[in-house]
Amino acid sequence: MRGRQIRSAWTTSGLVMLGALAGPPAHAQDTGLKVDALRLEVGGFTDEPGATGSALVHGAVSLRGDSGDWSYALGARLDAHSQYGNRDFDRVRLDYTENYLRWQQKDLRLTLGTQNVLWGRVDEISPIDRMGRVDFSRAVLDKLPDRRRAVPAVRAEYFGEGFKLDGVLLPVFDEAVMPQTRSVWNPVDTVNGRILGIGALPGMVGARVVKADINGAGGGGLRFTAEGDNVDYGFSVQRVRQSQPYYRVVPGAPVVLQAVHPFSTVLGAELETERLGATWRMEVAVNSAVPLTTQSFQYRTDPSLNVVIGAEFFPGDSETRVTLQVAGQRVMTNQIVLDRTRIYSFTGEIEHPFANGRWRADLRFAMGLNDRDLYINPRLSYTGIDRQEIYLAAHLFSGAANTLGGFYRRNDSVVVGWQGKF
Amino acid sequence: MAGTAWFSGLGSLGQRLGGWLLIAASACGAAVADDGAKLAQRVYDRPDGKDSTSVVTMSLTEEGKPARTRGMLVFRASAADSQVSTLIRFTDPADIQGTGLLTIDGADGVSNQWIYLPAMQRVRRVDSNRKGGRFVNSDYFFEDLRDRKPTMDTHKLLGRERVGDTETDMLESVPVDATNSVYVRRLSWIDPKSLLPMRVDFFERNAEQASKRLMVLKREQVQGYWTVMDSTLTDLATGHQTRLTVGRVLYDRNLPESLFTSRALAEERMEKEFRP
Repeated sequence: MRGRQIRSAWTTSGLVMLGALAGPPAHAQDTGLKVDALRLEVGGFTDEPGATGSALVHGAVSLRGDSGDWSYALGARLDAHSQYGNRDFDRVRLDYTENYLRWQQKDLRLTLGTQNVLWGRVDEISPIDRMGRVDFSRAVLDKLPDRRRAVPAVRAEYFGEGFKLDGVLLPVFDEAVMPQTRSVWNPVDTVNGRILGIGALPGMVGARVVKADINGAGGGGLRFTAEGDNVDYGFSVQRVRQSQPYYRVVPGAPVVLQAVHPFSTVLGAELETERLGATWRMEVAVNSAVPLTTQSFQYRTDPSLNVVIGAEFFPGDSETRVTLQVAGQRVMTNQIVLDRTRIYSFTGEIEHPFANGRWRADLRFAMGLNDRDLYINPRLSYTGIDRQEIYLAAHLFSGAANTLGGFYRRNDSVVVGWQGKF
Repeated sequence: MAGTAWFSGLGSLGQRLGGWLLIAASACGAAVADDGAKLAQRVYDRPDGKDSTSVVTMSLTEEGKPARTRGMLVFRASAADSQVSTLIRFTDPADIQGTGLLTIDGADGVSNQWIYLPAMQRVRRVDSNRKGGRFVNSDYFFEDLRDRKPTMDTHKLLGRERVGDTETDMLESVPVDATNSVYVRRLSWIDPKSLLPMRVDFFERNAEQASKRLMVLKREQVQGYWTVMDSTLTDLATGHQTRLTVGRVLYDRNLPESLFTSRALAEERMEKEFRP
C-alpha cells in the first residue's frame, strides 16, 4: 500500500470514528474531544522574487477515551498552505495524527496504530530521533515537536524498576510531509537548479522529481532508558528508513531526481544530567548509511558519527530560559562527494517572558561553525489570553550555497499569527 | 510531618517561609531565638498526613487585565525515610493541560525534578536547584514550591500580633546561607493553634521592605489536618496577585509509589483512579 493510500485510510477512519464517538467537548480531562490546535498565519517575503507572501491555516482535533485496560485515540489534522506571487499555489491536506488502540497492564503497554514516537533528548537536532515522520512542509520554521508527525507503528513498552524498554515496529512506511512543489521551502529548486545540502547544480534546471521507494516497511528499533540520582541515560538501536527523502540524481534529458528513503542502522547513546546550574543533554549516534552523491552523480551511502551536547539554564536564576547546543556530524567516506561531510553547528533558543508572563520574547538561532550558515528567528508573542497566543516573528537566512541558511537565503520573511488550543 | 510539599495544604509554604533568624548576642536574644527555632520546628513538624491529594485552582489577577486561571491536581507523599514526592498535573487551560511536574526531594537533601510537556511527549529533567523564576507566571517562585528545613534558617520570635481574628506569633526567619534563597528575610504570623501561617511577608533585596505578601483567607480541618483552603500571594510593587483555592483535599489514601515515577508523569491515565 502506498503512503498516500495509507494516509488516506488512516485519516478517513479517524474522522469517521471521531464523528461517531464525539460527544460534548471534555473539560480538564485527558479524555474526550479536544481541539488540539488552531493556527492562522500570514507572512510576507522581503527578498524572494518568486513569492510575495504566504498563508497557513492549521487545525487538529482528537478524541481520547479508555475503559479498563484499554484506551484509544482518534485524531486528524488539516493544513492549508497558500503562496502568493509568480509561484503561487494553494494546497489543502488532510492527515492523520494519533489513531491507536492501547492495552496496558502494570508493567506493560502495547499500542497499535498511528502514534507519535519521539526518541532522543536534545532540542532541534536529535540524531536519535529517527522513528517519527518528518514534517518538512515549512522547512525549519517551526520547533522540533511541530516538525514531527505520527507514524503507523506497533509499540511495546515495558516499565521496570527505574528503567524502560521501548520497542517500535513500523510495519508500513509513510514518507515525510514535504512542501508543495512550487513552495519556496521545497528542498529541490528545479527553477534555479539547486538542492538543499548540495547547493547549485545547473544541470538540475527543469529536472523531474519522482518518488522511488515509498512502499514496504519502515523498520523498527529498541530503546532502553533509565533514571538515576541526577542522571538519566539511554541506549538505542534502530533499523529504519529515513522519512525525509534524499534526491538521487539520474542523469538524462531531462535529469530525474528520485526521492529515495534509504534504510540505515543507527546506534545511539544518550545522557541527561544536572550539573553546574544547568541541565545537560547529550546524544551520540552512529549511522550506518548516510546517502551521498559523488562528483560523477553516483549515489552511495557511507557511515557517519553524530554528537550533540546541549545545556538548558536560567541565567541569574531568572525566568529567562536558554538552551544551547553544539552539534557535529562527520560522514566517513573516502569519496569526493557533493554533500557536506562535516557539519558543525551551534543552535539555541532564548525565551524571555515578561509583564507577568503576558508577553514573551523568543529568539531561535542556528549557525554553522565550519561553514557560513545562519538562521535567526526572533519572535514576540502576546500570551495574556488563556489558551491563545498572538505572535509577530521573522525568519532570516544567510550562508554558503550548500548550507540551509544559504539555500533559503532569499526566503527572509516576516509573519504574524494566532494560535489556540481548546 | 508537614514540612514538605507546598500544597500539602499551603500551610507548609508558610512554615518553610517561617524560618530565618539572626542569632542574638544577648542572653535574652538567645532565648528569643531559641523560642523562634522551636516554633519553626513545630510548624515544620505539623501533622499533614502520610499523603495528600488536592484539587487546586490558581487565579492570576492584575488590575485592568483579564484574569488567568490554572487548574491543577497535586499529589504528595511522604516516605518513612523523609523522602517527599510531589506530582503536579495541570488540568486547565487547554494549552497547558496535561503538563506535569514531578519532584522527588530526597532525605539527603538532594532533589530530582522532571517535567512532562504533552506537545513534546517527552519527560525531561529540569534544574531542581532553581530558586528564582515564577512558577507558571504566578507570584510563586520555584523556591516556594520546595521543602525548606528549619535548620536552613535562623529564627527569632518577635512577639504577638493579631491577623484578622487570630492572635498570632510573629516569627522572623533569615537564611543561614544567603546563597540558598531568593529571600533575605521572611516574617511569618503563625497561628499557635493550627500552626499555620496566617500571613507571610517576603523580603527579596531590601530586608526592611517586603516585596510579596501571603494572606490566608480560609482554613479548615480536613480529616483532622489543618489545611489552607484559600490564600492570596500579592506582589506588593505591581499589585499582581496569585490566588490559590483548594476545591477538595483528601489525606492518607495510601498513594502508591508508582504514582511518583516518570511513567506516571507521562501518562495521565495512571493517576485517574486517585483523582478526588
